[in-house]
Amino acid sequence: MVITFFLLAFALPLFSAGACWLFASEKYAGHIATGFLAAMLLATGGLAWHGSTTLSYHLPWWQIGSLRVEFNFLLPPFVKAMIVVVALVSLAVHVFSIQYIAKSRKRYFATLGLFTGSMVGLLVSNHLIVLFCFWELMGLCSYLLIGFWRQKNTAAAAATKAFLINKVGDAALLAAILMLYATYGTFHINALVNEPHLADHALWLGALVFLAVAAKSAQWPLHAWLPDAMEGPTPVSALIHAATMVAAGVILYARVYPLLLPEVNLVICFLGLISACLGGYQALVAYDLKKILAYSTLSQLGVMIAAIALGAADAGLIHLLAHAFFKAGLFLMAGLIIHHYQHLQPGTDAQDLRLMGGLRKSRALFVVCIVLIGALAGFPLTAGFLSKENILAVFVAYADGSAALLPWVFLAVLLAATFLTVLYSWRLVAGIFLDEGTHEQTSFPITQRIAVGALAACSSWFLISWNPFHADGWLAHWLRSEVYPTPWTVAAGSVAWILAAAGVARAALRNKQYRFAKPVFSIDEIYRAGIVRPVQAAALAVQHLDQRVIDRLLHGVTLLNVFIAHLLGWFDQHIVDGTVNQTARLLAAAGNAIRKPARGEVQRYLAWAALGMIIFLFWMLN
Amino acid sequence: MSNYLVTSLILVPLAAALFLAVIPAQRANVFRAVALAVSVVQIMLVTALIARFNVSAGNEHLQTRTPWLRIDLGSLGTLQADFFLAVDGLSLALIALSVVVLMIATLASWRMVDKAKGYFILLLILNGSIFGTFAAMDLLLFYLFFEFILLPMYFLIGIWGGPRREYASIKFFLYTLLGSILILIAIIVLYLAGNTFSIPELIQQPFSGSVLHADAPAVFGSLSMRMWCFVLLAIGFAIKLPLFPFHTWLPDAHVQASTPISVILAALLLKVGGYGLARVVFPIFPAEAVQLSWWLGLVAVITIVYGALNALASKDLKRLIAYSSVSHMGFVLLGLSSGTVEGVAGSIYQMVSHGIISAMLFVIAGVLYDRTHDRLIANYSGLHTVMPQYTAVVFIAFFASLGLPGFSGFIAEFLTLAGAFQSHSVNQLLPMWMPMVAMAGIVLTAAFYVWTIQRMFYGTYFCRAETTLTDLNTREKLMLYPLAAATLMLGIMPQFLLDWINPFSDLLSRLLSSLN
Repeated sequence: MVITFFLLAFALPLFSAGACWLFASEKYAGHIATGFLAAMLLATGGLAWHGSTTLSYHLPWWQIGSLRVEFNFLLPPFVKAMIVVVALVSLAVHVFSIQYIAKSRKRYFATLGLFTGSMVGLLVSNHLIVLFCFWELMGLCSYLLIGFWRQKNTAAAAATKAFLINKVGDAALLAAILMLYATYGTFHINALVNEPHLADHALWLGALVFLAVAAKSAQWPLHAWLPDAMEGPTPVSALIHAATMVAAGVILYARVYPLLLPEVNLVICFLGLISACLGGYQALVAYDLKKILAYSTLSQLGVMIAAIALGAADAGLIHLLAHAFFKAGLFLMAGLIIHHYQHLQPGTDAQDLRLMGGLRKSRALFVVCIVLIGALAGFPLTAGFLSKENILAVFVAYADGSAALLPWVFLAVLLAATFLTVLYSWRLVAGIFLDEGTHEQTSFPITQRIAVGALAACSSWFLISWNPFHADGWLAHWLRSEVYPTPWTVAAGSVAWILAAAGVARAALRNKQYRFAKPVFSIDEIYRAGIVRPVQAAALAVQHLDQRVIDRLLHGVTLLNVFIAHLLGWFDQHIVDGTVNQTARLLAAAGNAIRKPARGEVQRYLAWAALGMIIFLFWMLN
Repeated sequence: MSNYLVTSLILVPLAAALFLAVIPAQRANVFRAVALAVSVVQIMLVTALIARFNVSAGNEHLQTRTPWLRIDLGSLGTLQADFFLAVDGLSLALIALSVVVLMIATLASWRMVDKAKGYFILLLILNGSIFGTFAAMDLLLFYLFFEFILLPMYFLIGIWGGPRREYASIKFFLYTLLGSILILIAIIVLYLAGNTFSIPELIQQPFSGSVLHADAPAVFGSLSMRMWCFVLLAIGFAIKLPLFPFHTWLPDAHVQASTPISVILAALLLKVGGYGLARVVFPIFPAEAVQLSWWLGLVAVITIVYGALNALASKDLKRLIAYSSVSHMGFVLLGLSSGTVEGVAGSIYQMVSHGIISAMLFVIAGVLYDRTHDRLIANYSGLHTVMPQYTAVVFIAFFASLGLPGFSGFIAEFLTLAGAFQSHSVNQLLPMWMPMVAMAGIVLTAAFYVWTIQRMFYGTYFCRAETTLTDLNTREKLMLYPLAAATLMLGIMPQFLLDWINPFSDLLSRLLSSLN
């Protein structure tokens, strides 16, 4: 029974993709896809209702020699919970998109279905090759969706960039998987985590896994695709930033981090914190509403990676769950707001925070947004507060009583990242709602309001625990996860820290025109100078080598052959033939010379004969 | 009865070519109809062959062996060659690929009216020779068919090609002829030492007391005669495959050839090189292959990256596809030189997969060229607006070629890379950095395909040529959709093909690893 629920949850989004692509009409594709997704949500509900025992399922796919690839599905409690989240967020995005996407709906909803199905496949796969297949399919889907508006050149460029950066991660992941297989002879994650660490190549493995995670989850230095990904339709961003795509990297890391050396994990922790701060800072500097949200995703993912790297996978994953709801909600909300300003001020950049303001008069929107942004900032009474408090507890426990400097540095950087989050969240609230701006009542379609509202509701504290100040609640019990003890000092400290940050933000950001210093360099320039240009130069050099060196050499050899042939021809004509001709001429001359005396004159013959006789006689007589 | 299946695969097109020779040249419709009929018959023959093929046992009931040449050489003994045709999984995989590709090529030749008689006769001779090459188990017979591919190809490029066809065809001819001569020398040495042309017997042959015996003294420099033969054969087939630095005939020949000829060149002729390596070179000289595996792996990796970089620099769509073929053929050698089951199977899988995908890619290039006579990437943009179905097919072909899971290219690349990574721990033939560099080649491949899509298909519509572009017509769909279905099928259900090639790769890898 429970297997049926699982198979339905897996297959329904894929069926949705097939139905939309092959059978649905342009007009009703959205409704059909939404129907499938609603059915999927019911199936996932059945799956979760059945309890949190680990479920497993096998189906052989193909094999050669000792290499077996099989659909080995494993559903520990967390995966079940995540499938529910994926279904919920994806359904919200579907519902929202019915009104939002006007053209090419078949293509759009088919890709959404494939995207959702691939994410479920990735979540449940225990076999690394199958996991890799879904991993790459998600890269394809994000490529198709980011470049959904095909006539926009910027969208095409963003899609290309996203795909290529992800391809680097894919290649790294495949290399890591094959390296593990070559050593341990298995592709099963649950078997691999029990093996001892790699003796040699351990650093390589760590670097490859980090590259894979960084590309998918947009971590520094492979994060550059995520801010550009906003070129796609806004609901797509909601899906990419919350339930699919970027979540995949975090989930993969949570599953394989035991394979890496502890030192490597510490480095990854540090890199994650760098992303957390960098993303926070970029969000503070940007003016584009969707870019601010994109950078905030980068920052939040960095925090998750850092927590997992310290061994607290559960803390990181609970934050991932909470983040999925509020970030999807925020992006859908951004879609509404941008739509509003496109109507209000046509021709301007509707995504620019500086042109917004005064939206607090739309009460319902204001309340929903406050909840979502509050969850992002980690305000008390939200899910974000609890999940962040949990992570903070991890870092405090790691630093507590340690004499080394590093844990304290980590803690300080994490606090700084949290502080930055509050700052840019406040900037959003101030820019969109509090500042004065032209205002006009607009009504949004009921479906879109329901979608955003549901996501906001899921961002409240009771998502994680009934106690709004303690993360060790029903969700943690259901997930059977280990929750770090959260002393009341951490809870109180979190509240104080966040309120302090809010105070600073309020004081500092009274003026929305306030400019922060732009970062001195952009990662795009580094890519261009360090990777794109050298590769282009290498390509041209190689082309040059082909046409100027190898082919010239070849032409040279051929010409040499022709030259030698001509030389031989000349030799043939003048020396070989010449000798023959000369001989012939000599003979002819001799003939001519002889012919003269032999003209048939009898007297001359007699004279010659007499002369001959005389000479003969002389010779004989002497 | 079933042992005549393979023979008839070769004889039907040759008989049809004879028949066409007596038809008056004006009746162009007859030529293409006969060519199509031959393809249909061949598809039925191959279907029957597959039905009778036994995956797990030797397929003696499918083989033909009759004495063919017998020449008394006096004190040297007698020269005897057999008409020896047989199929195993490796042959069957490539034969099945060939019927499909030749069918597509015939369809692609449908509009060929200029000197149609000569064209279709040459196409049919080519057709028969290709099957002969993939089924011959006698080296002399193999060589004969191998050469018989070369000759029609030379004329097909040189007469029906593009503006620089003379240059391209003579370059192709000379390159390939050089390879053939090297192969012929090695075949003669093999016969003199082993006293047989039969490939299965040569594999078993200990060559005791001859120059090819493992302990025979070195000749010419410090290399043994075995090593010389291995190198000659390897270079001969490397030119065909092609591998760096013997590849420069390929871009010219592909660009200048007409669409059906490019399809056959890329999908089948390159496979003859890979097939030769897998069928002749590696099994007969396993010790030398193991000894040189590091160098073979190096050439493979260079070819992968070099081809991909060249494709990235190409401005001409067909040239880009041609160089992508070079890059993909590197994987064939990488898999073989790893000496592992996965690697060998991967390289055969890559041959079949690339055959399907490259046929698709060249038809795609042909679709555009037919409409505009312009292949420059920069002269197009936003094609999705006027050719949506074409765009969808291009997406499928490009992503299949760059190795997206779900398409055959992924299984092939994954298996070769798995073999190359395995090699480090199983038989120590290849170091781990080689597959790592090959991975960089995969990223570059993704780069040039996605970049091409961005330039040609995204954005606002622009086309340099002053023609209104129309979407795919029925004939083009008939060519492209089955190929797309085939690559998808081989990507999702690989076991079907793996069952055929498993025994061969198992055998070869065991042969190679027993020497280590």
